[in-house]
Amino acid sequence: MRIVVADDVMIVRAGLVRLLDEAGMHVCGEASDAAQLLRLVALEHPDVAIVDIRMPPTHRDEGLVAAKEIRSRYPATSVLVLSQYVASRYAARLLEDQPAGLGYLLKERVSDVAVLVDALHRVAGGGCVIDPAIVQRLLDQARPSSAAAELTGRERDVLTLMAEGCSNAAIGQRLRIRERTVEAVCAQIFAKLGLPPDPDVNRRVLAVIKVLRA
Amino acid sequence: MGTLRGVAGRRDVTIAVTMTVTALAAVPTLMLQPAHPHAVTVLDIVLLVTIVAAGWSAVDEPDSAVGTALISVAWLLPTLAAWTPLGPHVRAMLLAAPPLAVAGVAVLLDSRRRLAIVLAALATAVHVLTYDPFFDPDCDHTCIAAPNLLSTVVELRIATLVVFLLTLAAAIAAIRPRQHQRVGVAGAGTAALTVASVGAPLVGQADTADVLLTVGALLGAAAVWAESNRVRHTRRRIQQAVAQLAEILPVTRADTGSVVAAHFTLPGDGRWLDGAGRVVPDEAGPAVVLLDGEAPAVRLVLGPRADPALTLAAISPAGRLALQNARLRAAGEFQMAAVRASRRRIVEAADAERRRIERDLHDGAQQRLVAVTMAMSSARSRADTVTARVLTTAEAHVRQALTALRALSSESYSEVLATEGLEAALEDVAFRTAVDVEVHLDLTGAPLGWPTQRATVMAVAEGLDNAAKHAGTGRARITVADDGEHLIVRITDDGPGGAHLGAGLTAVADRAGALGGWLDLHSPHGAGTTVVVTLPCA
Repeated sequence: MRIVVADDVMIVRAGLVRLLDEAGMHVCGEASDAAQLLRLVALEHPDVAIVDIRMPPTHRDEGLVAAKEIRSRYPATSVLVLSQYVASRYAARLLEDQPAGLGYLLKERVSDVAVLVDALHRVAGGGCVIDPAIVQRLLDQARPSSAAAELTGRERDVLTLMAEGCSNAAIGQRLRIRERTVEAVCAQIFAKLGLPPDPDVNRRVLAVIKVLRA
Repeated sequence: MGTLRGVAGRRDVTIAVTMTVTALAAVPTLMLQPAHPHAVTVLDIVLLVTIVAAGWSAVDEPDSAVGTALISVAWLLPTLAAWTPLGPHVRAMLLAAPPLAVAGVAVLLDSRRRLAIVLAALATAVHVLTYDPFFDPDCDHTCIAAPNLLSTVVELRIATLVVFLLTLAAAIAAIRPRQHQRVGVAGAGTAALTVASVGAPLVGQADTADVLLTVGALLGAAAVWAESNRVRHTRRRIQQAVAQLAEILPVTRADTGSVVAAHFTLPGDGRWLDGAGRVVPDEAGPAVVLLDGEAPAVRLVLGPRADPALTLAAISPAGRLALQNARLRAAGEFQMAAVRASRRRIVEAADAERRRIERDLHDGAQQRLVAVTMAMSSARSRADTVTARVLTTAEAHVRQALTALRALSSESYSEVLATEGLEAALEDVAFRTAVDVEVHLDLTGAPLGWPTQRATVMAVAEGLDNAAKHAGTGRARITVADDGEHLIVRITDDGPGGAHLGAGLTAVADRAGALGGWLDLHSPHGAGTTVVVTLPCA
């Protein structure tokens, strides 16, 4: 898998590149700001761009803006946004138009190489990844009247893993329950969130987005 | 005001009557040459009345009163010379008085008065010492030895010339271009007639002097009348201006002859303030300063044509009291503004410091710790089992440190406010709270200052926090509206009420106060809680 990395802090960028190298990924370019990143993507056409949300010049949401631009101009390149913030608002902004091929992870999460590689594969495959910490917080803060507040503990666990991009089988494995049970729980979640039955895998993403936008 | 107008009215009548009678008195003097005895008596009485009336009308102005008295006496005394019981020597001395009119003009016009008085007095003295027409009525034709120094016609002519020149010099000294033209012209006329009447005998026109004397008396009275009128009008204008300024009203009519502004100063502070407590630049133009003890207290800025002495005299005790009140008010405003500015600076400094710490944590410690976790992860993949276990534990600790740092640095709503604006920040805050929130914005589009926006978001965050704590499961409603000048933030919940101003809301109230706004808390038992924060837009 061909990857470009954009982060203005050199030691973080270097650490990330080494981790990716060790995991057998091919890092084909590094950028320290959004403009450089866009040039790299245009030149290299990587499978995934890993983008820090805060970059020069204002250190606010440059990465977010760049991520959306990459997705609209180079559909073949997926984007994994890294952030220090458990900011649901940023995640919602990132995913509001078209969640496919996008991910939002906390920066510290990526030192777990398995999680990083898994997330890269999912977004490269057109999936959507949202950091479980964000989903957890959203569910914790769900208002009494909202649909999300009606979810049971088991349903919340499943939804959190869904946000990470796990398949039913993977969810079953993680929660040590049968895959059929996972399917049943998923149906419950979709029903409570008012999502119509749809074989499309995007429904899983929609469920998460729905919580994000509550 | 009624009393003042009454007195002024009486003065006008007195002066008008006096001038009319004096003018009538001049007719017999002109018609019955040489002076008819009765005419002279009438003239004397009239001139006496003139002195009293003119002095009365100008009694508030010592200079005017003295000047008037001098002119009048100078014109009156020679007419008394016709009164034979006084004896020839006294009558001769009375005739020497006219040059003193020039001294009166100098006092009235307040210009080089000392020089003019000395010259005029000298002229009178020379006259007294050298010439006694009652001892030798024909001296201008044939002089005989007399108690005076003169013994020849030539000497008489020389003495008269000296008196004439001295009077002329005094008149020139006294009369120069003046701002108050009516008085200047009348004064110049009086002085010219004086000089002419002194010089008339020199050219053998002794009788003409009588006519000149009468006209001079008229002119002198006219000058005093004009002067006292001017003083009265100016004084009324100044009184009005001072009253307006003391009430902190703008002066209705810019008047170059009056007071145009009042400034105040505080003890030990060299700066001048206007009525609203704003610092004003030093005034280069004319001004009078009122003292409070030894120190300056009030500065009245004058129009270019205003008279400082007149202004000072025109300020009544009530006016002074009003100005003193205005000064206290200005001082209060000034100090309030200073305190507000200082509170605002403190809040802004604290904000800036917090932002700096957040940035430092984010760009420094957090990034390095992230790099550390990556390096550890990298090392773990190549380590033996024992080392890998140690590294895993260490990594967990670093993650905890990262979580703790994030709690410190990243929960600030200023991020969203800066990137997405007020509405998004309010939605974000509302989204993070546990109660059901309805956000309603009704903004006119007036520009909102950054401190105001921050205070708004902070107020909403604390208000919702409060609602979540006390209202429990209830609902909350936020309205943010402005009228172009003030932004009103209202946070209402349907909880049990009875809320007190806790630490969070006190901080909001402090911040609002620092910006010149305020916080109201209504929380009756059993009827919900409403927090209203009012902030200036800019």
